[in-house]
Amino acid sequence: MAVIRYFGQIAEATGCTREQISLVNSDLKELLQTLNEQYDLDRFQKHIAVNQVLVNPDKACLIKDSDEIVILPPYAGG
Amino acid sequence: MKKVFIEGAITPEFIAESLAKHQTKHSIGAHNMFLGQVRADEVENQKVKGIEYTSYVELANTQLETIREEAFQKFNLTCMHIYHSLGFVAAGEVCLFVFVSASRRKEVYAATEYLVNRVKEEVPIFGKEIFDNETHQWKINQ
Repeated sequence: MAVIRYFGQIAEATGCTREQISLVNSDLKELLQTLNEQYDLDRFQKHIAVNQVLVNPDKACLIKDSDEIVILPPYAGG
Repeated sequence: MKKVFIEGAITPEFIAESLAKHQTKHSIGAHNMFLGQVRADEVENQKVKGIEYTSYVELANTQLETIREEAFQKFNLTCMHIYHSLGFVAAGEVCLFVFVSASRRKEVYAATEYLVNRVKEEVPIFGKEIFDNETHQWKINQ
């Protein structure tokens, strides 16, 4: 099962900070599309990290069942 | 890995102690500090009473390590410390402390600004601004 983690206002929108999803040969774009249909995440600016590395969500990226995908809202440090 | 995150506010005592620790390093001729303090902004008649900070700590530590390394390459510094709060920090309290030391002053001014800008732009830290009436809004860096 792939783990998806959410932070800040994105966690508020999804109602959870993490969930597990079963994926078979899934692409990051498809996964984000599915999550958007469920939680309306396109209203947020966001960064995406796969296994602790920031990725460009517009580029093709295969997601494995063991991956951790993290969806981050805009940064607000300081 | 240097410890950056501190639970709750960064206290004046902690800041003074950090300075004291550097007084045995006699190659240092200039220190510079940036202290970020939580503002009691007013939005529609409600005042911010504090900010609840969270972070994706694993990625934040990686980003901070890169920022530290690049700052050491760019500036001729003796020491560099970055601290940021997690959890609740009340208005008037300090949530970000950047402290750089060098032999001469020119380096520390430029390095401080460079570090503060990069921390704000590149480190995954999130802030929930909590108002007096317990409603909230999410802070976004301009």
